Amino acid sequence: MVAQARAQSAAGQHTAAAALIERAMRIEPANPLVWLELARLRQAEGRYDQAQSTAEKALSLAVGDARAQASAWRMIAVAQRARGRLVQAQESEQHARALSPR
Amino acid sequence: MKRLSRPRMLIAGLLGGVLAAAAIHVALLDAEITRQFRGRRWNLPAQVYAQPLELYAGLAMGTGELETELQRLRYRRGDRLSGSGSYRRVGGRIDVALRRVRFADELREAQRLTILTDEGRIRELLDARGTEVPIIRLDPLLIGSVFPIHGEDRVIVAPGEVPKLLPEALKAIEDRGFESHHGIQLRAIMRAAWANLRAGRVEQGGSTLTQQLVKSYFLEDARTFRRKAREAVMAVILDARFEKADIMNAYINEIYLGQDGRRAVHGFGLASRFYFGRPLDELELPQIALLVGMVRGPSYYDPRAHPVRARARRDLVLARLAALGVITATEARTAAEMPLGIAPRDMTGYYPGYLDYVRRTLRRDYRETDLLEEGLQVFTNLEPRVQAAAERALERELSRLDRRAGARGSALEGAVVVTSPQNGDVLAIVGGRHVDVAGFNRALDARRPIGSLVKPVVYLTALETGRYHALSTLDDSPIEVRLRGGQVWRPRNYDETALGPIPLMRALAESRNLATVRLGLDIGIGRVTKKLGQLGLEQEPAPVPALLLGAVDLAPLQVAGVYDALANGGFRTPQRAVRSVVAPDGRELRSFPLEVTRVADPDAVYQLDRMLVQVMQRGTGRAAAARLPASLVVAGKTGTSSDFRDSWFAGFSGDRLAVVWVGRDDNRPMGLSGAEGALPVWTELMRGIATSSWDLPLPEDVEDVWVDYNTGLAGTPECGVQAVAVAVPRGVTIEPAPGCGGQTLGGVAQRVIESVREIFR
Repeated sequence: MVAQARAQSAAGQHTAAAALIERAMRIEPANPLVWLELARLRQAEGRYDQAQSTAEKALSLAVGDARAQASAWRMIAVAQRARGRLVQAQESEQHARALSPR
Repeated sequence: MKRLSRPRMLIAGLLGGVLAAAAIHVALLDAEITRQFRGRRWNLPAQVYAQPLELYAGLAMGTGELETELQRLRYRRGDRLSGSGSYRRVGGRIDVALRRVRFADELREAQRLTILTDEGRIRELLDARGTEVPIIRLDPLLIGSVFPIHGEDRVIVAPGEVPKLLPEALKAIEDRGFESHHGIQLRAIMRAAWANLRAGRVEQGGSTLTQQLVKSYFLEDARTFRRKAREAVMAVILDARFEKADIMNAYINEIYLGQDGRRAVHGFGLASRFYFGRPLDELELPQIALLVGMVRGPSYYDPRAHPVRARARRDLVLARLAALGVITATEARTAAEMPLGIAPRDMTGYYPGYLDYVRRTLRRDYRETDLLEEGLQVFTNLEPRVQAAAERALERELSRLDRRAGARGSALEGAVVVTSPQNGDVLAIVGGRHVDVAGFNRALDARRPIGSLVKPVVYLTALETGRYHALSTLDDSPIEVRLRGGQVWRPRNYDETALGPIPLMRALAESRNLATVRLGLDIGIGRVTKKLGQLGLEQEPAPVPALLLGAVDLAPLQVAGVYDALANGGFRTPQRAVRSVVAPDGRELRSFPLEVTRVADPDAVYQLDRMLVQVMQRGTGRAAAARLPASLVVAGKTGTSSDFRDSWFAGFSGDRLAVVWVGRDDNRPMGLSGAEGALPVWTELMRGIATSSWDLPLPEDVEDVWVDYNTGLAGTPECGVQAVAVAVPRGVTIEPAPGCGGQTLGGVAQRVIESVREIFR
């Protein structure tokens, strides 16, 4: 379902993608990857405040999963940068690098 | 001779009158009728649907539960599949012919589905070709519509959705000359006029289907000769201008077929759902005969109110259909043996409390007329299973409490709100005990003091300052607070005692008022009210000292909003009853996307939630444990307002949050605390729904420690204390309990983590 959502999002069908992600979330509300997918979608929509808080939510669920945490921090960094919070964005990137050097 | 000529003259006079009236009005009427009927648009109240059930391999649903869901959607059970809307069950296998349905995001064509279950779980889903289906939705249940007060409600059907038998039966029973007459039947009118004259007033109708349609569509119901004449003229015009098939279809969608409180049931489409809970195209001979028979007198032949009379009428219709050759005598006999098959009211899905909330939500975005007329489809988050469990739990526990209380005072009332805290979905709303009556919606409108339900917010605010943690020592001793007017406020504990120094987590678990007031005054009341605003209250309450003990009036739905954020790790999601609004052509007009905002420190919320779990294990909520599965971890808080006027409980599991209020409408004391009134309702509700344990992951900056519950000093079960696992910020040092010394905290913490992992698995 998440894969399908990503394809729809890539095709610009954000509403349809969001509906799919929300369906997945009703089944697995505590899965950080589903929240990350929603954050990615919000980023694609250009809604950076929502992208950031949704990634923060994913981060809070991703305890013990370094890869998911790193993705969440990167997404937070992108959102912060887009919102002009450059210092915070740098800190977020450092968190991401510490978790999974790229 | 004289006796014959007088009526004849009168009839001639009457006819002359009719013709004269027609001559005057005919041109105007013609234009008006043609315009109205051609562009005819019935007012189409918005149809409201519940959340569809998602089926997937691994879902905890057995064959029995699946069958209940199919029956809620009025699928017919048979030995074999008989068209869409039917199913068969063989052992752990269910074959369903799913209907063609519209969801908010797609139109699904009718299709076959096979569901294989194994030990109370879905093992596999297969389509008609035997290919595995990863996930599929059942139909969304139609739960009602947004109709005007004293208004008409209907479900429009196209000719293709009408069983062929229905128009044939209507013609046979109501208007045998339909295909050949010109809108009226002079002979019938004359016969009726004759009878009416003899009676001195209008008694008989003698109406064709066309006249009945005109009467319902264009005219007020006043039985006068003038109106009869107008009706006849309009019927003739309608017949001249339009095809018989159009007139028949209009009739099928227009005619009045019953009353449901303030709602008038119009058309066979809605009548089919209202009486049988099924779409019209799935009706068979016995049901069609019943509805056709009801046209003559929908309340007189109401099958719910007068089943014997309705059945006699149905059988009479069957006999006449057979006599006229519309059906065979055998078909009539077989159909007459069938029961009426009326759906029970609670299975036709009528949820006034929830619908009320949906309407209020929509009114913010839509004009009233759009909701009443434009045929919108509204997809909501109502979960029928949760709603049914909430209604049952409230009624059951309040009846029990009423009996216990004897005849003292008015009957207890209550309200329940159930949400899914992660996404803000509002799953169920019960506005009072008697769910049939759409009256005062206590879940939305009964604003009452919340008592100790406010305490978690006080403690969360304290944790967020960084100056307090679960094992900080609070002073539970008498305090006097000087108020602005010079008065002195002397709060007291529930049990009138004072415990002195106690650990913070115990003060919350046992809902100690004195310790809480001291804590709140130390951190500042303004901080607490500000936090309440951040958590979701539109208006910050007044920062008075009594606020710390819950002197703020809130409705259950508002409380649910605040607690959602606590259950969701400090993230707030707007409450959503409506998911999406779709136009008749399938375009999505409005969606309510999931949005999250961080409103509290997730580490602090985690620590608070662990304390709320403690409330359920050792504190004021512990009565629930005996009646819930031992493996289910839940968190919550009781609340009681002064003089026992309001009994509250708010609590959550991993994926469900419920707020319960119990009290009296006249606000008189009822002598029940939160633990005695609302908690049993909450427990009964949680027992009745599928839910998972509270299980937020332990944040990296927080650790678990074993301590003695009474003193908050470090200690394990081995050294003879009442040991409990508590979450505190990493690096907090804790004194060992007497007899538990010598252990280094690191060693304790290590074993704690292992044990806690076991508890929360």
